[in-house]
Amino acid sequence: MSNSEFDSGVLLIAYNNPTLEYTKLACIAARSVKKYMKHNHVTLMTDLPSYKQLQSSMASELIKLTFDNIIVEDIEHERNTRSHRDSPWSEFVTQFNNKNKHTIFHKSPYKKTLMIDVDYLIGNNTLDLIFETNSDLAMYKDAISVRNYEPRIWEQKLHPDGIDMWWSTAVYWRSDSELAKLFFGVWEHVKENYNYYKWLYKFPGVLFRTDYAVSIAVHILNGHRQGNLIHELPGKVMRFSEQIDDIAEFKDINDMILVCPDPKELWKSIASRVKNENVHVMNKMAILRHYPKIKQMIYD
Amino acid sequence: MDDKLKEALEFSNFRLTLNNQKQNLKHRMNTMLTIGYNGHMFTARLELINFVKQLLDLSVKQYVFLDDNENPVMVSDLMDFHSRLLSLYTEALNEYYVEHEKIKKMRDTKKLVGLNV
Repeated sequence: MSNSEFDSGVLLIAYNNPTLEYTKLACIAARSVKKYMKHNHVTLMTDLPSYKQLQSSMASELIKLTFDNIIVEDIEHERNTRSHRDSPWSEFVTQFNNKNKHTIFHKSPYKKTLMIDVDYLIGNNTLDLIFETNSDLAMYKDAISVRNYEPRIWEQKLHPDGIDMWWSTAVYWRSDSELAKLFFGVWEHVKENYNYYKWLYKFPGVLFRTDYAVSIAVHILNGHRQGNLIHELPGKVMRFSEQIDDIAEFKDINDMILVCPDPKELWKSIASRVKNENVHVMNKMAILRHYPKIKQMIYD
Repeated sequence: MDDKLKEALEFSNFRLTLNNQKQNLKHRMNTMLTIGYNGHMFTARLELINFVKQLLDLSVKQYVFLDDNENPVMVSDLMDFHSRLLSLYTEALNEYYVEHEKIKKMRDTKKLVGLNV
């Protein structure tokens, strides 16, 4: 069991790589949590090089204002390269440090933790509700894009005839829960035997996806069936913006205008304004392009 | 391009954007309908609100409901439960109405999403 110092809070993980400064994204996520949520004690989990980069780019007062607690780890990340899109017309490959995500169960300082990815921008207080429930563990299973399209098939199921995909973008758990302990243990087991589970569940790709690992863990814990052991987060449907989408403008931290190409006909785009919602913005570069303006919004 | 076709395509794009914005508002409304009660989550849908009202009219004191995760929950203060469900539903629907009124009067794609270009 973890050593819970605080009652409840939000955990963010940020490991920078040469292309993406995740600590900047974490600052945005943390400030959006502080602005819109009641359970807004924020812990940043990071590594030494990322922490140094954060310290060099931001005054210590601002860091204190952003994060209530920082866990700095001296870790060596396993190789896991990922291809990112930045609009339909630009693509890049970079290191993706997600292989120790399951360790959050032991590292979280909270009795009740909500872990969110740093590209999940909080725009309302809906997620506060989960802290008031008896849920052991909760995540999102369903999602809808800001263009109001369903996710692609491999983000709905691990295989067209296979099990449901759960999103590891936001994970809530109680540290005293035996179910949560089991879940994170299975997550680690799946990570260590990823190729076997890839063969068993027939999903594609070489990238280690935590979404797939948690989905398999959910399936196993439900008795290899569908079930309601793991709860769905409040609102039930996660809003997301695709990697091919770009952000035209931030009106406010929870009010943005996105340019969304049709995934099947990339040259056909529409603008979509999303306000007062929590949005998983997968095009991280698009957020970072607006960082100077966002920084003013979140600190002024 | 033929002017008529250009006009039609612009209108088509406007309708597509308008429809998307309406869907966004609906989604926001649905998110607002989630309520935490007795350690469980419920969605304030008309069916549930009216069912609780029906129970109140029948002077039922307490009742078992299925929460959003399909777990049974005993609710012993039906009046309070109903009041909170109705209040949340009203708040969500009002916000939807106000925002919907704003966009339905718009006739320009850029204005529809608030783009200043």
